[in-house]
Amino acid sequence: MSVPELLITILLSPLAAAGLIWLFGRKNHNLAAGLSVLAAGVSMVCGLILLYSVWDGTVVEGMRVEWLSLGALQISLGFLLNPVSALMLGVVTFVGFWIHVFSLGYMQGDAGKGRFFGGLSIFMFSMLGIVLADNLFMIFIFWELVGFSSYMLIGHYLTEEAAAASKKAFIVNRVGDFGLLLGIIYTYWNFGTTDFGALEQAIGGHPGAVSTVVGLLLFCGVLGKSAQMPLHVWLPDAMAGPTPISALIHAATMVAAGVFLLARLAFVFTPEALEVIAWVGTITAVCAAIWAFAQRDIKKILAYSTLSQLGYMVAAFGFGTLYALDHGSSAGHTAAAFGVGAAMFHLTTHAFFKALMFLGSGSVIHACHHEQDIFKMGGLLKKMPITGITFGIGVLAIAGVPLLSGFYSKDAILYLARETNTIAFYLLTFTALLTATYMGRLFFIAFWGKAKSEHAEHAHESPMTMWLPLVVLAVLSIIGGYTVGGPFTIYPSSILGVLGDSVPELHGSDHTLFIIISLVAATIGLLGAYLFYGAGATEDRLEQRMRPLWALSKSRFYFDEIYGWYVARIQDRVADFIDFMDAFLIGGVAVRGSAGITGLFGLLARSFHTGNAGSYVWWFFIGLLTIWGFASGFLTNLF
Amino acid sequence: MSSLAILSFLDGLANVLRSVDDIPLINQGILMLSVLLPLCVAVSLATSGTLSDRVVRGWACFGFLFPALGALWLWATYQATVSDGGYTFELISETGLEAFGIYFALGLNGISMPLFLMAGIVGLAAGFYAIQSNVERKRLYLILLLIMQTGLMGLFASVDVLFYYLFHEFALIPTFVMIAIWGGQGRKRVALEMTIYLTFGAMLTLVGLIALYVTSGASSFNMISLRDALIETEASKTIFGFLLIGFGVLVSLFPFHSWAPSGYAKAPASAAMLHAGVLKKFGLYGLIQIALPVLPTGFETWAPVLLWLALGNVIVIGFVTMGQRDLKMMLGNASVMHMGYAFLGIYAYSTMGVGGAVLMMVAHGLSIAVLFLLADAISIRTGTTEFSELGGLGKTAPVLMGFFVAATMASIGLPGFGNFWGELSIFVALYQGEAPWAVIPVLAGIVISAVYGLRAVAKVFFGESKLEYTGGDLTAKEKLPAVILLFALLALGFWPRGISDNLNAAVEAGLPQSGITHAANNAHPTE
Amino acid sequence: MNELSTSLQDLAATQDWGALLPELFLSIGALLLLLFEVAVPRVKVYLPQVAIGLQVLLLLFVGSGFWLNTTVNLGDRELFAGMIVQNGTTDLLRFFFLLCGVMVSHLGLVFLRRRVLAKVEFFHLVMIVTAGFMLLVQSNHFAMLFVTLEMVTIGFYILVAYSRKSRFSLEAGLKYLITGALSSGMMLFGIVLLFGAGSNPELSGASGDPLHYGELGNFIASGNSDSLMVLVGALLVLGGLAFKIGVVPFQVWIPDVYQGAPTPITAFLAIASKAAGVFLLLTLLQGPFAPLASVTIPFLTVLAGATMLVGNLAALGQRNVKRLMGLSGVSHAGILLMGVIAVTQLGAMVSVLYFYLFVYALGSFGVFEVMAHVGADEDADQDADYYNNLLAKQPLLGAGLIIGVGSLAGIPPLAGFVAKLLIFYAAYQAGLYVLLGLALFGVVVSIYYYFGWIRSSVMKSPSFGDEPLPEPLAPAWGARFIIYSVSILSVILGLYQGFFTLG
Repeated sequence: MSVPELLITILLSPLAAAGLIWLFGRKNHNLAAGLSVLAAGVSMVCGLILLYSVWDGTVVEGMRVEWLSLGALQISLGFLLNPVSALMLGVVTFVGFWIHVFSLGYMQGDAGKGRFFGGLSIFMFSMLGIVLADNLFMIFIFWELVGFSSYMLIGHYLTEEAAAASKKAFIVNRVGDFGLLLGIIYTYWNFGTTDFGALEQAIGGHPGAVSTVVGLLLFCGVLGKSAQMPLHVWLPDAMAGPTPISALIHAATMVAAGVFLLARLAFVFTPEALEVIAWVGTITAVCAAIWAFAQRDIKKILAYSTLSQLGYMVAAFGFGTLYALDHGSSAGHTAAAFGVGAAMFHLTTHAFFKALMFLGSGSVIHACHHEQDIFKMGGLLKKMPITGITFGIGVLAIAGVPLLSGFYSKDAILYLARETNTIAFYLLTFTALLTATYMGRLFFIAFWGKAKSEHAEHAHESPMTMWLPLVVLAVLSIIGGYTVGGPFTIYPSSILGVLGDSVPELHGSDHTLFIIISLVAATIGLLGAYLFYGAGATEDRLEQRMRPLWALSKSRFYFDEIYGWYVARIQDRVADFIDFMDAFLIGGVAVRGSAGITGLFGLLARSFHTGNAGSYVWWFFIGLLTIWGFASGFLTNLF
Repeated sequence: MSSLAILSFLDGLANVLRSVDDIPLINQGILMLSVLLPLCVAVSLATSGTLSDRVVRGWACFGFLFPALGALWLWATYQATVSDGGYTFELISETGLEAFGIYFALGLNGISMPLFLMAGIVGLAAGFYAIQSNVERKRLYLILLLIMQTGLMGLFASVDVLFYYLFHEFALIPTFVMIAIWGGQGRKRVALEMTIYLTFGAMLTLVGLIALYVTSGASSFNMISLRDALIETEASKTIFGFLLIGFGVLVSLFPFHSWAPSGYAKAPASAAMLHAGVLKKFGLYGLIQIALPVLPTGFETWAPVLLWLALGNVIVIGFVTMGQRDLKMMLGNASVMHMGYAFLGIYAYSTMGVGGAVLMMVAHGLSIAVLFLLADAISIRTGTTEFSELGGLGKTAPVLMGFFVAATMASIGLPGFGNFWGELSIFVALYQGEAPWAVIPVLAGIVISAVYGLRAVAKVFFGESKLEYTGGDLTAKEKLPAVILLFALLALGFWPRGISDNLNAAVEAGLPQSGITHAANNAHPTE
Repeated sequence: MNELSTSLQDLAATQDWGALLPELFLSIGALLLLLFEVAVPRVKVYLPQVAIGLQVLLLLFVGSGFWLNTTVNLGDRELFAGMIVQNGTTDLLRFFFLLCGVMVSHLGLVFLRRRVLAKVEFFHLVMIVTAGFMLLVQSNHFAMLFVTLEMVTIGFYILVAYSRKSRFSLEAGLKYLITGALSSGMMLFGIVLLFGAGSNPELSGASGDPLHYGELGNFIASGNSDSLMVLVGALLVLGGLAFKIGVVPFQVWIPDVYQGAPTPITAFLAIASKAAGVFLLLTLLQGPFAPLASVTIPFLTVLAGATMLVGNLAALGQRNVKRLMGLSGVSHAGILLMGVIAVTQLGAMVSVLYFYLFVYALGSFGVFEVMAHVGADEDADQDADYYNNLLAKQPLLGAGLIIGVGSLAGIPPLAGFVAKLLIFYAAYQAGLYVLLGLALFGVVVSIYYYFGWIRSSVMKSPSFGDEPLPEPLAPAWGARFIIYSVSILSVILGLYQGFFTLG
């Protein structure tokens, strides 16, 4: 099959599945599941065929279909396949498929299974739409759609909590999209197009063609989707959704869409904008890592680590691109794409190990009858070895232990940070340390020691549909970092363009230095966690011994409190007030008031017609006066 | 395989259908019938004696079905013409007022075609819903609905301004009666208030139209000949003022909106669907089809006012909507808010903006209709529409929830549904206007609408149910109309060109450039 | 003075009686009715039907004649030495009044069936008054005008007080007598002043017969348009007519008399005398008083504005629908007056007025027909609540009421809407913006009371009070026929006005 056909198949098969499920699958759950997984499979196979055999890495653009043409507004659908989107395509279809498989087991016997898989397929469609879109309008459309599917899936369990979480997620994202759409409109009117190709030609090359504002406006979208501060609040709550959703949408793919958008638009951002972006990323990374310590819920911990890792990616993009702007293509490799490369690289590896860990936690939760508090688990390593081991691999990967995928991508980021901004470098390194620590905390408490609850006691390994994806992802979490071409990389030549060359490779002293840094951070973190918490601790030692620290972490710096206060105290009250004024002033005083006044005059006029014959005389008198007035010309002059 | 193939197929299909237009008489006949048939059915129902319930239902069903199918057919065979202001399928007959240049004239152009189609579809849905519902004195109910349907079809099909107005009233009166008879608590006051308020608006409009007719000197109420009679004098400002306020009242332009929410909250479902969905578009349609082409200078004078009032719709009413504690009141206010977008599209005074407004009108008609339908289904099951008493309906009625979520998403402008295109093109167009800053508050609207929309979904369907619910999930008969509307919304969302392609020419012809300095009109973005 | 006597002699000498056949036929028929009642008591019971039969016959006869005349326009025909003038318009109006006569007689039939009252006299009087109206519109001379006017008015004095047992009816009769006398006096005084001025040899253009419209017109035109005497005279005459139409400030008698009078007579007053008054106003304004426009137009403008305001506002809170009809009738008079002014200023579109009158008559007769079936035994007692749920109880009556009231309110697509539209259009052309504004305000207000009435007829609201509301009678075939025809006409005329040569 040709490239266009493959792309269309990849994009449309999930949509077809969603449609069929909507029609027939609501009652027949297995059919729904089958369709959904099949579609994901087709997408993955086609994606792999595309990447490994058909496509040679040259940019494929076009296949445009005009979608709406209204006066000056021309919106078209089209594909833009370049190494970046190709890599994203691979990640989404591959991870997506395995999470579909995992869901087969995890959602067994759920009342809303059909709805769940339908949503999953819609999500795949929308996500792939983002990946393949060739212009900003199209991106925005699918951007909204992923937001919608995420909303649906977070709300899957229909509980109050789910309601609040899903609502929050959608609205916070809308806030981000507010800026994004503004940016898109601005771009459209200023450059006459939103096609990435045309835009790059219009902007690329001569900086100053575009103001910092545009970049920041577009970045708003990233803030929302990739849950960067201050719009990060929705992501932890989103854990109310089923665990596969957390893995697929809120760890591996959708939240990474923001980073992907940055990569797509790398040429738009001015240095000032990049500074902002980089710092937002860095701060998010640090804060999220700190907050992770006070969490007891296994999924919440992973959620905060996701936040932190997303911060890494955003920071990577910022610093990398800044670095590129300084150096241009120096030192033999194309620095121009360092930002994109590093960010996408970490996105990829993170997709592997974070999806792995979420699915692992899913497997655990499944085994422990939906017990999510790590302090009620313990000893799971023996009870469910596969889950335990694979989870462990994930932990090592994220901790940045050498030879695992996380190590490579994180080092690239730290390197770029050091090259551009020392403070950020230290912060991010510190974050790496924290990461290793809280992941260690999670792992040792949940998996080592002995069981601390009934559920944990009777936990046992999950079915094959659930552990197979774990294994697959574990393998990738290990080898996902090898990009040096040849037999050692899993990546096809077509996309090594992004990973191979664009990721800074460290040489000589740098090389050793960073190995040391990572090793130190990882070992100190993990060991520290082990020594401080101990295997299978029953309660949070941080809470007991260093309460202030714990409280600080627990507070999450009061973001939710502030937003909650705003909604309850300001927004709702303003709404009520305006509602009242509307009803009182406009509906009441203005409308009913005028009606009432007319009514009063009516009473007056009626009181003239009481049937009292005496009053007749007066009326005639008035009449005669009028007549005389006009005849004498007195009134005539008046009117 | 390839979507391109599918497109070319659709294109071919369209061509085949268009070739039918070589025999125009057929289409004129269909147009005529789509307008008048519902009335005939209504009359026959009213005059004939006792009929069995089945006969009544079947006959009424026919009365609703024909206009919808006719409209679909006309839409499929429609092709824009340059002459006659882009009107096709014209047919004209005398009524005895020739001396005043008044004829009974029907026809469709790029602007009225989509609205005509929308009226047909919404009418069909409302009709089906009414037929399956179990209201008392159902026959009278259906008769009134059918009369409304004729008015709605006729209002968009009229080429003669007077009959355009006449058909509007034709559809308006039954609404009042229906609220008065089948309305909810306190219907007496609401019906009366609404009647008087709307009569007020209608009267202002009437004066405006008479003035337009007199000053234009075209000595004709025919929209086509009016289009050629541009009024550049001072008078045009006054006239446009009358039309703006008059139409504004009828479209619930802020601050003339207070009749709308309570009216819709009290009205029986089908009436609310038809009024909020279709009839309300009368004013916007009039501004686009009549006022803009003839009174550009008047428009320019009033543009700032229009802008601020429309912003009032979006922001003020947006907040009001957030403050609602009753589902139907919330929907009523939401529909008021969304009218603001349409007005802003008109304000932009460009093919993009006005075209966007038309898209918006069509999509909003469909979405608000399905929302009122579902709200009624909810209140039937729960016996209330108070948020405080609702909750947890999602478990007992998943399909109802699915539909409601879809409809809500449509109305808050989610891509894939028609409303999105309307809003998007309005936003984009607004940026080119004299007040690009306005885009910011207007975009805030998308957040506001998300807030109240999702709040409604959460309150009704999530959590634990506080009441004993009866009736379970949507029945097949309730589903049918809802599916019709949702399908139309999706179709519009996936293929907006089905409407927009014919819009361009018609709208562009209706925007005389003379004397307009304020909008960059159809200037293309700087290439 | 002797000029007058001579002119009276030529008048007697002229042999144009044939031109007045319909009036003569009516009067003689009326007399015969009485004769038969006395002479042959057996036939008494049939006489009402006979009376109606006669009128219908005449209606057809005149109608066909009128139809023929429209094809061949005979132009103005001065008869009886200029006492009377006939033309297409007067023929139309004579036809119109005959129609009113028939309608009223039928209403009378329905009305009297329920009550123990003298029957034949009623129809006798109605026929006489009809004849009076027919002559009134043909009069071309103030003497003729006054005589015929009194002929009508005196007939009404009796008719209004016709149901002797009803306190309301007697009181209404008395009131009508008082006010009627006042207005007649006013008018007569005006005529006298005009005569005095016109026959004053001192003044230029003094004429032999200043009461003749044409001559008076010439006299005023020849430089006397600002003489106070003429002005006062003219305005007094107009005031007298204003009384007949029920224009503020001469409307005060309307609600009481309308309420008290038997329903058929209320209809007669509301429709026929309004029509006659409007027509006379028009003829005077376009004829003899044309030179006085600078005074009469402002005068009438003020009156029209006041009328529309007072009429609508006073009607707002009315629960008694007869009073309601009266006061809303006042507001209609205001709109008509506005039309008269507009038409006089434009010198065109006269037919618009007649269209309005005809439509108003249709609507009102429909409504009164229903009222005759619904009211309580005490005719004056016509509460809006009696109409509760009428549509369900008596579908035909309900529908008739809705269409009639709707047409009066000017709700599209009923004829009333087009009628209003055309008047507004004329007013706009004549530039009467203030009046137009008041008229529109009036329409909005009128919706309140009209819609309230319609609503009560479609809704079943709990009947409060202890005594049960009177049940509406089932309409007999005659009533059914009338209701059907007027309703259908009201609808058709709303959509197709081809029968009238408007413009």
